[in-house]
Formats: sequence, structure tokens, C-alpha cells
Amino acid sequence: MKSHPFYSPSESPTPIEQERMWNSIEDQLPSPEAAPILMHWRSFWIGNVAAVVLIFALVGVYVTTNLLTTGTEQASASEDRMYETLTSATGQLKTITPLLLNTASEQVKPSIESRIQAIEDIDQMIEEMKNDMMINGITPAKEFSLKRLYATKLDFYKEILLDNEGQL
Amino acid sequence: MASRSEETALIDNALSGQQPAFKQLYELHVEGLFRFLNQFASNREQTEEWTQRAFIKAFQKLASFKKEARFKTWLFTIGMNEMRTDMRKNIHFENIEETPEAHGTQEFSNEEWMTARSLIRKLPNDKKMVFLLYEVEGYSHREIGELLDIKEATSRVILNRTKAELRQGLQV
Repeated sequence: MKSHPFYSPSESPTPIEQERMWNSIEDQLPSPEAAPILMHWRSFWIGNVAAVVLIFALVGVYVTTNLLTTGTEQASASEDRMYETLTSATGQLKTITPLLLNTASEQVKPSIESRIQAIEDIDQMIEEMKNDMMINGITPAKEFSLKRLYATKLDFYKEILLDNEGQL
Repeated sequence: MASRSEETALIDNALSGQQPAFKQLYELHVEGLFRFLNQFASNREQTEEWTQRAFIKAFQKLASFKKEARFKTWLFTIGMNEMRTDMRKNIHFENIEETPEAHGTQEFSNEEWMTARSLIRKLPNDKKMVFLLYEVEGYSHREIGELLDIKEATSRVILNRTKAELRQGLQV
């Protein structure tokens, strides 16, 4: 790639950085031909891993939901931490959702699927809200609505987790 | 650098599930996106985070990419959105109503670019973004208007003001 004189060579990603980024990206590539993973939820290994993930995720969800719903007097620094926790918690939850769906009993599968659909709808609303904030600026009302959307999304995750928790 | 048709073929292959095509698209664009986003990050870890999130989103939504657009432009838009989402103080562009100057200021020489680096890094994010997109990444004012959702004239005015500011800084 032809480099503009503004960029110094040290600003390009190193091969190690490129590899590290690619590894993260590769994990999340869409796989159209992905076959359903057949795993028995009673398997000792899966059961233990899922239980640990569920405990961590539930703690994260509860802490973050509480932070989101306890008023606006939070200091800027704690809000930054809150968003970091939120992003990290929802990222983890999104990663384990397919596993939860696979391991869920037939009775709870439809309810989990409808909650996943609801989360996708909320994600779309969050995206639209963020775009609006980017274009038209941030107002306290918009910030509040965005927080409510995040909180609702977390509620849905919590319900998915609780549905599965009963089976483990 | 791949031609437009080669890139379109890569996108088609990726859409049909050929995993190596994703890596080729990544290798074509990772350096450019990383270097650009790095101008706004406080450390390289942050740049890595924005870059990988931009690629993940772009690849997951590849089916919605309109092939008449440039993939790089689309990827940069996603990358900038990821970056702006994380910024507590969002980058705000005021729509400027004044008429842009008819004649832009003259181009920077290679030597001036070297000297101007530190000045450019200190620019406010809105000015830095327009300046880098136009001067370094080669986008037109119309494209910048679409990328940042601002008027074309606003992009011109911001660029002219930024260049004048930089020239002044270079003379000090």
C-alpha cells in the first residue's frame, strides 16, 4: 500500500498486531454453512463451563443494570467504567447465546428464540438512537432513552440466562 | 492494491461463504483503517479494538454492502462510528453556512507534512477528521459530507480553516 508522507511507518499495525486482530475477527466471521453443533447439555464439561459463564454474566448484568437505573448523579468516570462493563458483559452474553440455545430444552427454546429476536430489535433501536445522537447531538432525554434500551436488552439476557439456569 | 473488480469478486466470494476471501479483504484494508483510526486513539490497544470491531461489523453485514460504493469508504464509516460510539465527548460538526473560499490554500510539501504531524495530532477531532479524510485519504468533499453526514460546504470551510491554522503554526 502506498503510504502518505503524513503517516510514519511506526503507525502501521505490526505483523503481531495484524495477526491478533485477525484472530479476533476470524472467531466472529459469519459461517453460512455452519452445521448445528450437537452437544448434550448434560455433558460434564459443557455443564461446568456454562455454569461458570452464567454466574459471571449474571453478576455483570445485575451490577450494570443497577448502575443504569440508579439515577443520573453518576460521575463521568464511573459512567465510563459502566459502559465498559456493559459492552464487555453484552459481548460475553452475545457469545454464549448460541450455546445456550443449543443446550436449552425444547420447552424453553421458543421463548429463548423470541427473546433473541427482541434483543436484535433493541440493537437496531440502539443503533438508530446512536446515529441520531451523532447527527443531531446528545440530550439528557436521549441519553436516558439509550440507557433504558440497554437496560431492557440486559433484562432479556437475564431472562435467557434464567431460563437456562434451571436446567444446569 | 486490488482493482475495483477484484475487490467486488472478493466480496462475492466472501458472501458465498469462502472464508479466505474475508482474510484477503482484511489484508487489503487493515493497514489503512488502522493508521487512520490511530490518529484519534489514546493508545494502540484502542486502535486495535476499533479496527477489529469495524471489520467484524463489516463482515457480518457484508450482504447489505452496496457494490456501487467503495468498500474502503463503507469500512471507514463503520470504523468511525465505532470510534465515535466510544468517545464520551462525541465529535460534533456544526453546519457552517458561510461560503467556502473560492481558492483553497496551497498543497503541503513532503517536508511540511513531516513538520506538520505533531500540529495535526493536536487538532480538535472534527478538524482533524475532515483534514485527514481530504488531504491524506483522498476523499472528496462530497464523500466526506456523506461519511460524516455534514454539508459539502461545511467540509470545505472546515478544511480551509484547518489548513490556514496549520500554515500559521508552521510559520511560528
